[in-house]
Amino acid sequence: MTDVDIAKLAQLARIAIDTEEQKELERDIPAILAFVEQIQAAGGEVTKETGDHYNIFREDGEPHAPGAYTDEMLASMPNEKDGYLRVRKIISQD
Amino acid sequence: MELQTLTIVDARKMLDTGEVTAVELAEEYVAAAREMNTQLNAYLEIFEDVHEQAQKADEMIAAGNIFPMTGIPIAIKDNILIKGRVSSGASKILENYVATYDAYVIEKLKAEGAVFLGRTNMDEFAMGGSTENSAFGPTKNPHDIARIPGGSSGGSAAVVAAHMALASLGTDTGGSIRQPAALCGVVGFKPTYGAVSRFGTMAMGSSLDQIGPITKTVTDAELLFGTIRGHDSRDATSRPDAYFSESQQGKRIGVPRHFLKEGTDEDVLEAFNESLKKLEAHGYEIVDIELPNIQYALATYYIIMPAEVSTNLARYDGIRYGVHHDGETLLGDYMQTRGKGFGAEARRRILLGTFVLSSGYVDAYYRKATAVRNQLKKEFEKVFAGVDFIVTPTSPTPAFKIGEKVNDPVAMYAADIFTVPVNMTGVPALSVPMGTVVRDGSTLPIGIQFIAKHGADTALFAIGKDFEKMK
Repeated sequence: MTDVDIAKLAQLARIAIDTEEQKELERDIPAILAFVEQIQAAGGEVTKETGDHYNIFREDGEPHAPGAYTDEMLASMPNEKDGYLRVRKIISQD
Repeated sequence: MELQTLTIVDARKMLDTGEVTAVELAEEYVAAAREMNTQLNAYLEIFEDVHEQAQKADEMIAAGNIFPMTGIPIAIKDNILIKGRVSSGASKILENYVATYDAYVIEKLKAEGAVFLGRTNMDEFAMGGSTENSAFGPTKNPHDIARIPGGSSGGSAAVVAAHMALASLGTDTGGSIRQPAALCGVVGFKPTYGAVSRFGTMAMGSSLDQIGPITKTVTDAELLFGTIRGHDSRDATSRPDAYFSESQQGKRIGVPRHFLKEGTDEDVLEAFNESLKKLEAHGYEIVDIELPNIQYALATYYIIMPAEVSTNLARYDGIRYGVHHDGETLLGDYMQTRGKGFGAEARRRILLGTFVLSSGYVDAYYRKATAVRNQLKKEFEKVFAGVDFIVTPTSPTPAFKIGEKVNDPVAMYAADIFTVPVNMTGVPALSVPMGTVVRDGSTLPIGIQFIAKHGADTALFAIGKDFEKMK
């Protein structure tokens, strides 16, 4: 079975997990990986491409009138002040 | 009014002739929904303004401003945004989130004067096959409340099966419309990838997700699909209307027999073989087909889907909207919000997706899965050069018991075996009831899945309607 560092993965995924859940995931994730590993026997040539996906992009421009959604969006912010979204200071001294 | 047998087609006639008003119709459904919901937990919310919505529909009808969905009471899966209403994706992280705009499909339904009854329960962010992953408790199957309704659109299937809505919308990433429709005994349709804009619908696996109808009949599914389909420049994967062929298909059906035996319950397989005989008796030709890599579709799906989940769900961080939990630092805020806001299955899939995309593993997992997926697409194309439809059971088993598989994710994932290849290749598929089987004294519905090539959505309605008539 593939060795998986659950604590590191949780950090990468930005999800806090407790020790009990970590133990469960240390059982579940390798079990799921053991199941999906059967694809190594399947056909298909591996390339760096992501496959043929189809996209149509619209022309650049104003998708809606400026400010049309501002009030509703401010109302849904967990921490808003005077029309601004408040976030934590991310620059520290050390 | 007999809600048990009422269809959109019937309701349309009654509304247009004045036999019933939209207000009367909506009130009957609200009463039924309120009565049944305490037992089934199929609705997360039954809207308070249904009466007002129905009044507007009556005004449209009186003015002769009538569309297929005018005054039709429908339920909406909780991952599709309706402006000004809570839309939670059945997640704690969006528990009180109020949508700031309408999804494309909601715009279309509002323009026709459809009446929204409420938002339906689902697996959190559409991740699951049983609706047990809802943060707000599981939905029960109307045919046996000890059992799951399927998922992730379990609420949307249950409300139609229990006559708590005339029709509903669901979303389908790996079978989430078709499997619950089959397990609840109703019709579910997953359109061609790109047929319905996902603008305003919470993204799960963006290369797989489609919105579609759950209804009592194939004709009703066709009508509701007719309203919600169409090109939309706000979803870059939305296909132009000209892509879809309206031409009738032939009557040649391919069956991948090599793929059906493993894991399918014997009586489900028997019912399926009976269905094939009926189709044959009605002029359809049945041939065996080979899809050499289809056995790997499920494993491939459980790499690609979590990879897309881990990126799509990165947006839920408690900063701009949704629930916020404080940590010591900004990173701590993210970790606490996401740790407490997401349920166990969401956390599991995000971690799995993070792993298969991580440096050192991406070639062996994600890129290999993409290669297998491309191979599958080629195999489907090859088969569709020789047949008009591929047919399988929708699900290998009927509804299982609540709690039966919660501790074994791999066993739970196996329920998607016949539906997943459709999303992997982007083709359309329709689930239609094909009878019942008995488990522990409960009579439980099962479904048959019709698959067509890209853009041949209309052909599925034709064969589905034929099949419904076969007794």
